[in-house]
Order: sequence, then C-alpha cells, then structure tokens
Amino acid sequence: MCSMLAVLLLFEEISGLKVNFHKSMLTGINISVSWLDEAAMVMNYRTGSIPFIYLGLPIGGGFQEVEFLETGC
Amino acid sequence: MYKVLVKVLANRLREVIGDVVSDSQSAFVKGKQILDGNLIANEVVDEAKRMKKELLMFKVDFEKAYDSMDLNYLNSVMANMNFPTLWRKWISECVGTAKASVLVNGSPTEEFPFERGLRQGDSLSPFLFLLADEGFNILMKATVEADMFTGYSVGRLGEVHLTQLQFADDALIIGEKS
Repeated sequence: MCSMLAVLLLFEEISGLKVNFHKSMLTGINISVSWLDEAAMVMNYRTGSIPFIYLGLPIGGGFQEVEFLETGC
Repeated sequence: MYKVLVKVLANRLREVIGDVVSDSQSAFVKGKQILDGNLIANEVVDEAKRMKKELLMFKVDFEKAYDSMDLNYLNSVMANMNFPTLWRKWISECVGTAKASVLVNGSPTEEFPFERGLRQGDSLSPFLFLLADEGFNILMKATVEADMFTGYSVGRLGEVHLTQLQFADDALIIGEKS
C-alpha cells in the first residue's frame, strides 16, 4: 500500500506529473471500510464506493438495474 | 511548415507506438478502444464480487498532465526505448523550439526555452505523452517484481495478473490488499 504511494511520488519527481490527491480515489471490494478509511487517511486520499465512474462510465454494480444504467448517462 | 513536419513524425511514431507501450494503455494505440479499459475494470469487479476475492482499486488523476511533462525526462525515456539519436534530436527540436518571455512590471524579460510541457493540440503530443506514461508502467512493474505490491490475479488459476489500466492521464491501479 505504501509502496503505491512511493511509486506515485517517485513518478512525480522524475516526470513532473503531479497526482491530484483530491480527485484520486481509493476503493475496494471485500475489504473492510475501516481498513480503507485508515489507508486513505495515511495517504491523504478520498475513499469512494462501488459503483464509481471511470472514463465517464460506471464501474461495478449490476447491469440489470435500470437505475444503474440511468445514473451512468 | 512546422505542422507538416510534426504530422510526418506523428505518422511514423503511430506505427511503432503499439510495440513500445504496454498492454495496459488503451489510448491512442492502434487496435485499442476507450471501452477496453471500462470493460476490463467491470469484469474484474464482477469477478471479485462473485469469487469473494479482495480487490483494491485506486483511481489516479494527474494534474495538468500535458503542461507538467518534463522534457528531459521524455528524452531519456526515448533513449531507454532505443529510439535512435537522430530521431530524438528531431523530437527535441519540435518540442523545444517554443520560447517564452514574462512581463515583469510591464517590461518583458529575456526569452527562455521551456523545460516542461507538451503543446496542446499538436498531433505529436499524444504519442509523446504515452511514451512518458510508460515510465509509470515500468515503475509499477518494478514494484510488483520487488514484491512490494501485488496485482489482482484473474481467474481460478490466477495466471493473469492485472496491476493497472491506463487511458492517457487517467489511471486505475488494481491490486490486492497488502
């Protein structure tokens, strides 16, 4: 987990590309919320929940639900 | 004139870009689509739910991605990818010709070349960005090899390991709790 942060910071250092921690998001499946919250706090991230939007489309969640499809558009 | 040259270089780079960037990248690569990333992510989430596996997802957003690209870094990435010196000279000529001057108290300073930033709207920029993004891929790969991070293994046999999906500056890191 911490190694991920190290990778991002290292990449920022060498390439100049800075990670926007306010817009970044940490989420998990079958992982306790308390663990996620703790990890997010240590690394200063936001936590999110499934389904979330990636590249403009929702990830996760059941496709059968009409509601889910509507929120995606 | 500049536009013609850049177009020629971009067309040449387009042919080889698929070979130098890794499979996790789905932007600007021939034969790949934007939906590939979404599809894979969705399937992974679905599988993790069904098989009750632990899955950690981290959406990364790079701030001002084009503007903060270090040009020296880009050059060294290309050198490590074995692009010939002549080619790298052409590229640095293209990205490094822009000069800027700042107005300080109403009087302009001396002109200075940029050290950072790709040009927005230039047909070469997307490809150069991909090359630089590959550095991130390599870093991730190194962390996985050093056992500091574990990717998500797909399927019962766990033969396919997934660590990240990328679409230009939008990355999604996928892994197990560690």
